[in-house]
Amino acid sequence: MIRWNTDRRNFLKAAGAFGAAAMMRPGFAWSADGDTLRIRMEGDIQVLDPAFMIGGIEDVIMRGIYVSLNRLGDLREGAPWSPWGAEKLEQKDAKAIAFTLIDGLKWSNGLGPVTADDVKFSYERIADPNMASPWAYQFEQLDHVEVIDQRNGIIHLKNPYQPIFVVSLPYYGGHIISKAGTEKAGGKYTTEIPATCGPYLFTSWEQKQKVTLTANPDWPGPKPDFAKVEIYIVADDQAAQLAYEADAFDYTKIAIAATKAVKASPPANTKIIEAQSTRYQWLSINMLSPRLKDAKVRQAVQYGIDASQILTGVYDDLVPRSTGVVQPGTKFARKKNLIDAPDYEKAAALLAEAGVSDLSLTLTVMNDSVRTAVAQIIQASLEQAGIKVEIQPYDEAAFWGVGDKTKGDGYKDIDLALMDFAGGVDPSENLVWFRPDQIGVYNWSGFDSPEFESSYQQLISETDEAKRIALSNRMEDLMEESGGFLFICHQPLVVIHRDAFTPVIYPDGHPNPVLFKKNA
Amino acid sequence: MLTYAFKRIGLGLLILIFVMVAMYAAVFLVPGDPASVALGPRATPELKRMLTERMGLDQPVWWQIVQFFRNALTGNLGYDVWSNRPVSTLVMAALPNTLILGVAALATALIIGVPLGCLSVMRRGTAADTAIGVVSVAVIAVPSFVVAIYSLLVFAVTLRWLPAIGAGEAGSIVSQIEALILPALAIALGWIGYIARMVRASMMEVMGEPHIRTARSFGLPEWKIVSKYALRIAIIPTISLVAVGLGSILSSAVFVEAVFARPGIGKLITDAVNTRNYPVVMGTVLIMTAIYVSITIAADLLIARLDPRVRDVFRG
Repeated sequence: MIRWNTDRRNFLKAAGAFGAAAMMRPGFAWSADGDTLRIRMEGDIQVLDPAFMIGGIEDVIMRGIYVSLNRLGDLREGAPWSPWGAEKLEQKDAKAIAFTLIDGLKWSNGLGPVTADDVKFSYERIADPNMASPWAYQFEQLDHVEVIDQRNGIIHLKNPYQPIFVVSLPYYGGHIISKAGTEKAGGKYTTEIPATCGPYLFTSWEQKQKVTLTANPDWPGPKPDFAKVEIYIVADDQAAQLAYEADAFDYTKIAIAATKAVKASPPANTKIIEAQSTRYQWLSINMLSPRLKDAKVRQAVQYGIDASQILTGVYDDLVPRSTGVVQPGTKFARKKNLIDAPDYEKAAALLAEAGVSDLSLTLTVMNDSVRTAVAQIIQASLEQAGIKVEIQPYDEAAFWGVGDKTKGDGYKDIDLALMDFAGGVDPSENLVWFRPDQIGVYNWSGFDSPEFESSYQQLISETDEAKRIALSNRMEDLMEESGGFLFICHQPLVVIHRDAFTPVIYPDGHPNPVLFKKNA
Repeated sequence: MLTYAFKRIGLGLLILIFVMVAMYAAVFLVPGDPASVALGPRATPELKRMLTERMGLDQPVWWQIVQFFRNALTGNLGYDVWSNRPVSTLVMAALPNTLILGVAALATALIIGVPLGCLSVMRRGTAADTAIGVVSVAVIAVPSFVVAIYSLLVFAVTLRWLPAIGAGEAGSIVSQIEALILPALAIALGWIGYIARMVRASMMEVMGEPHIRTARSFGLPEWKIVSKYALRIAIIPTISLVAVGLGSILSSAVFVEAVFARPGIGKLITDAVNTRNYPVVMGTVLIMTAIYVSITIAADLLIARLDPRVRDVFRG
């Protein structure tokens, strides 16, 4: 028989010792330091060569360790661009942009000053078809970079290409790398960076745990507010939220599903950012499918879906319905959708007109919880219009193969596909994927419009903003009129951060820690 | 004993080859295109083709298997498709974290579970026995990820005694131990219950054996009978359970590593499978299977040493 010899004195002794131990616990090694910014990203580093980087954390790091000629502002302010590594960046004519690098930019590892020749090397390298960079499209209009002297050069374009200031220069491909360092490394590199020149130095990397950046003493530009940036790698949004609450870091994106609870009871000293990201979601209605060849049937699908239920049920009404691939509320956005609300009777009438009964379609979707929830609402909504839908979930790797024409004719057999792409600030960046040459690649609607293609060519070369707005609006009209698309929303981005600073988030939803400002 | 050991090792090698061939078959059966995943909606068909070639996936399957084993014999497990880093480097960076977690969880489970099982037998039929039984079954029923989340909420979020994420600061043993406590506890808790129940059941059988009765008749104290004469035999099924259960511990580690954002093999494999990073999948599975097979062989040899009847049966 076990006997517990616990009297009052022993209990008080034990409790006292326990309490004292808890009180004496030496500070929390993981707690915030005033000069250290701790942010969370989802994935680990793979490649820090701008020509081959994959995304996410890599671009966030590159914003700190490299320099680009210009940079974007916060997505909540429309992400306006301003010069950054260049003290002057001006359009000489429709096909020429002159730049002057800021004085004092210097490479690490004793590789000397950053020069216009490095800019030429960086851009022409990505554009070179032999390099096979996935980001080559950003510089597809680049003809060459003319080097005037050490700090001056001119970017010459093949054709007028207005989006270069927001699509190419401030993003991945626009990061300038050291010509000497890269050549010494054999022409390309992954995680062994030959040289850096940005406001931060790449100080350490603990695989799948943490990346540390520290202020670059040689940086000639405005000093960042935080001397050290620690980037913690946590894949899961919910785990990240708990870690934030445990004071493991100061900035993290959270799951959309958690937003209501966090707003109702936010962690201490925390601000919540709810923004509309540039990631646009839509339903692809494939006109190449034998079941959807008739435009009336496709229109029946468009009329048979209540997008507002998706916005409420999945996105907690954090964002409005999209009117196209361009973000609502921005100057390029269409005023409204042509089919703005569901009409189940009209859907049924259109099916009857087409002579279709017992229509049964498959809906191809990636198998995560958010996308599956959207698919289920679409399924329930179309059921009301008399259209049966079978949801076909795939993991990410398998999903992209479904609509790939290089894998056979399966792409013609897709009925419906729930899709979302990370978009950009310029409408051309979002519209490019629906050109005829993208059928069986990323245009899964089989949308083939000569007017769309010619409008796209005008859009990228046109400099008059009003004309560009009209062109992009017309292109979205064409998409919707084809019956191949139902625009859902630009997904919400929800971030929590300490109220001691103000973050800057790029349109891709990722932060730029260089521009974070401490609050007075 | 030597013959027995050789036969076990031979069987282990066969298992290893079978697992890798099965993995290769799975790679070609599972739909999915690594090039599309990695390159995203910006990739041209030419670029995808180049990547497929670089991964060697355009070669016949049998050729890939032969190449894999040939390279593996020289210590070359291939290269990460995206970062081009050697797979062996990636595995060796992640492996210690998972092994430390697994060993810590197992050690915790054994240190607590075995004495609880013994105590239960020594106090059989009492309230203590009942309480241990109830608690053991209760903790077996709770999944490790639930323990992980709640322990994180209590000890990291509310009390802030222990870190919420990571494997601790590099070079700081204290920080690494702090980071190990909650994940190890999350995995160990269910195993404490298993081991306590297993030890109790085996001990109950052994305690009825003639040699125990003889020991009692000599007037030996109960604790000595239990620890010296009964446990030596009763522990054998537990050793088998622990060796076989290592696979289960490693799969628990996948969830626990996700909750605590702890870098490890589980995270490496799931990321690699999701991105169809086949060289990393193959290399990691090879290493993990080798470890698992080695531990099973070690457990078999230990059991054979403790109980000569086992090797006799195998010999016969």
